[in-house]
Amino acid sequence: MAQKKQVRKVPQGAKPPGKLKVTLGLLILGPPLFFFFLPTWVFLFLSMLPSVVAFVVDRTPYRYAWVSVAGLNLAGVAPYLMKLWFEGHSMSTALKMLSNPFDLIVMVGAAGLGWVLHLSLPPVVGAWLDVTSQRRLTQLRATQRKLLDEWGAEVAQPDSEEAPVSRRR
Amino acid sequence: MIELLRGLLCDDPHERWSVNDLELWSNGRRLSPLQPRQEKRAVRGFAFAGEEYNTCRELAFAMSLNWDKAHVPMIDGSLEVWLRRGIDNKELADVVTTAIKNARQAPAADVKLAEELLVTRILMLLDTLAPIRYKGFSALPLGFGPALAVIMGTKSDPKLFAECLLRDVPHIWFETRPEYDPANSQIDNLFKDLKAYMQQTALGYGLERLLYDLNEALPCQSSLVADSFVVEIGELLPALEQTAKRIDPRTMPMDRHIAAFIACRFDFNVERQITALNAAHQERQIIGILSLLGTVQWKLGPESLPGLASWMGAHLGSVVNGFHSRAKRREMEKELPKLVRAGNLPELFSYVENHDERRRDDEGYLLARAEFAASSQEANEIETGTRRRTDQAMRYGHQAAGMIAMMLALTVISILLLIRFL
Repeated sequence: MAQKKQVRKVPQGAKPPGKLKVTLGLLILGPPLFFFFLPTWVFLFLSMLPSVVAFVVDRTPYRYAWVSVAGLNLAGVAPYLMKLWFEGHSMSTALKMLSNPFDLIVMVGAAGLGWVLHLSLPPVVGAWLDVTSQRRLTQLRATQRKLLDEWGAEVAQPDSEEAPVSRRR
Repeated sequence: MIELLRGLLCDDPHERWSVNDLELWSNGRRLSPLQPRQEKRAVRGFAFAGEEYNTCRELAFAMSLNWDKAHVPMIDGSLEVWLRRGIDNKELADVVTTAIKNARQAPAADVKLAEELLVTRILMLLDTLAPIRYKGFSALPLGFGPALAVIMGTKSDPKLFAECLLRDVPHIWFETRPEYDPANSQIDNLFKDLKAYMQQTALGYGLERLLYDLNEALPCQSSLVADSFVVEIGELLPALEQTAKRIDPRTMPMDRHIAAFIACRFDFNVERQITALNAAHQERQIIGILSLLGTVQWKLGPESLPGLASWMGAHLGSVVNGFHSRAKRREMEKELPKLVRAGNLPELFSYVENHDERRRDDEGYLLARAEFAASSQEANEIETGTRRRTDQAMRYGHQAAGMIAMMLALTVISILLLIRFL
């Protein structure tokens, strides 16, 4: 017997209690944390700009480019971030590193490597897929040849053209 | 001599002299002289087809010769009036009236048929000694067999004979007998069976079946054994064995006459084999022939018929090709010549009609078809899926790049943190 499902009615516009707590927490803790970590935010925003650009310029349906770029961009930024955190967490240190061409080359270069990785892997995967497909195709043709040798050409005809003897009887 | 002629020419078949009476007469014994019984004559003649007739028999005979005009005096009632007033036979007149009334009730589409059957019935009533007369066909019930033999022997048109049986004319004859005879019921039932046989046009039935059912001593009329005068069923296979030595093996060792001859004369139930003979597919027909001849050999011998087996073997190609498996075909092609040389048709039959092998072959074939179709579909997808594969490669490549980049980032951060804290 079908039982009617008990549907709990939620008043429209009311937020679930968990979400409310998170929102409240962010409102209370967010501003102090933002101001306390301001050099980190500024440094990260400016050093990770290539990743933001990658996200904006990627027009593929899946938008995976920014993941590759951000990954290596972060790897390039990480040593300087550690330096910022452990050797004086100040806005001047952050701006100093950002204005150093060598440091910038490392950070942006790492992001560039991310692009290289993003662009170079699909052809490699494509070649691998081609090889496995060709191997599978060869196997299938061999199976078909074997079936034709054993059962004759009628085995390749569609169902409507020929039926086995047992069905004809 | 008058006594002899009266005896031999007596109208009543029951009183007519037989061979014994003739022998007795020739030995000098004198039998009681038969007095001719005069048929009742009419006080006034019945005018039909430009002549006048005074007795029912004469009129019936004349009507049978003028079939197309015979129904007119019956339908317009003049015959009934003549029977009532001219012949003064009220009983006969009443029966004729009833028959006419029944015929008039026939639906409009069947009027012609009803009139023909009415004429037949009334002729039988007018002359009870006469044979069955239907259009141009005329025979006593026991004469149907010889009549059919003559029709088939002279290759005449059997249409009237067939029509007569299909329209139950013999049954009308039995209905119109003035006296009850139990033997008539048996013959009437026989005609019902014959009608059922004739309605089937398949091998083993039809007019050929009637021919052998009605003529027990008639030899098989098949052109394949015509020279051998095969009367007994046991003589059939030896005759076919002789025929096998000189005939073109492409000819089938079975025809309508042989099938009907076996179905009629073989004292064994061969309905299944006869049904197989009439299968839609040639392969099943060949199996049916082999099965039928094999059954005859199994029951009646002879033990070995290499000629006939070889003849049958020449037609087994389609049976072998009925198997899908090429390996099975090759095996059969190797094995069949040995069985053919042995000349044993039942063994040959059981080898080619192995149900287990057939089932295995069919199942294997169905699986093979399914496998072939699946592999074709997959191969087709591979061959036509270049674009899809390119898209796939792009997507997988980008995913892999992202994953590698993130792994590298995590690794670098982990190493840096480890350096700081260790």
